[in-house]
Amino acid sequence: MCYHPDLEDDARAMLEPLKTETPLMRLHAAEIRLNVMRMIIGKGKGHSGGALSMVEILTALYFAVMRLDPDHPHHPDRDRFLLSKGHACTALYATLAQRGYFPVSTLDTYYDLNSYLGGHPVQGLPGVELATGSLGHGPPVGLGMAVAAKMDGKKHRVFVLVGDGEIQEGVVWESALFAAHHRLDNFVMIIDRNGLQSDAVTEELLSIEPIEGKFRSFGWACKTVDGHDLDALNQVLSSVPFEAGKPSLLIAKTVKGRGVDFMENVVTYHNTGPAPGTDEARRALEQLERRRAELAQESGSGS
Amino acid sequence: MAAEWSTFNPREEFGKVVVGLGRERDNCMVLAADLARTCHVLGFRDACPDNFLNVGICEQNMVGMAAGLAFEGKVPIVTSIAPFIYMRACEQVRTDVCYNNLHVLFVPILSGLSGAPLGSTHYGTEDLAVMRSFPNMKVLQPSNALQIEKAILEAYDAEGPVYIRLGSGQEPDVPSQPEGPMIGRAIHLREGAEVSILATGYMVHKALEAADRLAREGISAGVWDHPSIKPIDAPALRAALSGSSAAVKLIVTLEEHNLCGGFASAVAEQLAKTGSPVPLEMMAIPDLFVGVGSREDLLQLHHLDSESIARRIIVRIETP
Repeated sequence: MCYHPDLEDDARAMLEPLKTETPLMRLHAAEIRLNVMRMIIGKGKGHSGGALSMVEILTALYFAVMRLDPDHPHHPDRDRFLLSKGHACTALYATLAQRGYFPVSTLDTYYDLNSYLGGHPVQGLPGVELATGSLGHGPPVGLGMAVAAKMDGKKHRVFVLVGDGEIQEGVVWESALFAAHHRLDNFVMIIDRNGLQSDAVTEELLSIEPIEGKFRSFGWACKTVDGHDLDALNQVLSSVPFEAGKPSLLIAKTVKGRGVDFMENVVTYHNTGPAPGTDEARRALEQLERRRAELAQESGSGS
Repeated sequence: MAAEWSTFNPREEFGKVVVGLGRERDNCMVLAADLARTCHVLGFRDACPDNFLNVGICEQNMVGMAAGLAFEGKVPIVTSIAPFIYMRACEQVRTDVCYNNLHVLFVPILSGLSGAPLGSTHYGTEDLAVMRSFPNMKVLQPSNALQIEKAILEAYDAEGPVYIRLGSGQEPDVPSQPEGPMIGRAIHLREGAEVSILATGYMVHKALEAADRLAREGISAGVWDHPSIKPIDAPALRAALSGSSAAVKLIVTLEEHNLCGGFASAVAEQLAKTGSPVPLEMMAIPDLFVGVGSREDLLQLHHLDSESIARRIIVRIETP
């Protein structure tokens, strides 16, 4: 399923990160964010807050950090990415479309009957490795991929993006023990630290801090970054492993609902969006469109 | 257990088979969760150390990792005590492995009451119900040493996830040789005109013993071994309905599993489709938590010894 022995030699040689310039990455992020909101408002359903919070993380990964080839999504040497917080899938779909895995028009099929763009990622959509979204499941599956890479002498890395509330799942700590014990420095876990979970602020509901201290004591190399600063994300994610012989943890401090002023840091936007046809929906799209247009003008890309 | 059966040890057979597989197949891996000694896979560890992972007491992480390894082309054989796979890591089995249709072999030991007298924490009495409800999953239950080897080798060369239910201790090595594939096929062990006893796993020898007892009472009972719980052998079920001549008076299912959702349910689902007029007697562990005792004592307590089975059949066919 992931092996393409007939892959052309020129494709094999191509796998390098894009190294996109920052202004263009900002524009990509703005377009991704706008498409996220178009999907969610278009179908009246979706997890908006955590999708908007991780847009820059995905933009940095797909446009600057990861070795990948949208024309060969199963390239054996590609870096693997798992969206463990799969409920935020609209941001992944929009990023994959932006990166050229499939046409942006495919985003219109979000939530349609038999679409590959459902409420959580599934196999079949180019760029999605396998189905994810039950919280806590991404790290172990990613570890399996990382172990296989080490066994086979492969150089690719495995990036797993988890939610901050997600690390309340016990299995995350089983995998934290394993990754450190087996010195899996090809394994990178990114926490989208937007501070909110489905019902409340994480620190009010079930405290997870100090995250860095916990993972350090488990034997991980940890860093924290502004999760909306593309330069900083690019720089830190391009420096993995943070320490040889250790798994890397990046805590990306983000704002849930980022980009739409009335949605930011609002708990209830976890699994909803502005209802279609409402003033909120119109304002959300306006704000994101305005931001996209500003950045397009700045980068000289026109509209 | 009657004295005349030669016996085999399921864990030892499993251990032997995986060593052979590991030596021949580069991608074969064995994953254990601190029960490698108990599951008899230390031989594999010694023969193929690079392909062996003892993940610690972390079954959920083990099964999730198995999914990732399988995605990358490895063939993980995951072993533990049954409840720690089908319950502790249940969601990983279903969502990571089955949903993604990944080729992982689950080979639990201590299924049924073979872990007796450890208590229900360690009995595997609901696994057939749970595992056969997952799309893509195949569920096998070998009844002798030969079938263990055949099941594992066939599952290894199949696609998608396979659950191979093993017992523990010394078990009767019943003469039940599959001809051709095991997956989806039952084995007709004994012709019979009046009753068809369909059994699986450890209970196959009880079915044969019960059929002997019934013969002494002048009742002709046929016996079928069903090592493939899912897919079930539907043609064999149709054949069992007709016996050696006319329609049988009774179909009996026999399993070391909770009455809910296991082999009996799988048979009943098929028979319901055919509109079978033949009564079905489901012999299984009642829907309760079985207590402490030896395996044989517990089976007898719940009327699953061969004498009780024969007696229940006589009562049932004499009082329709």
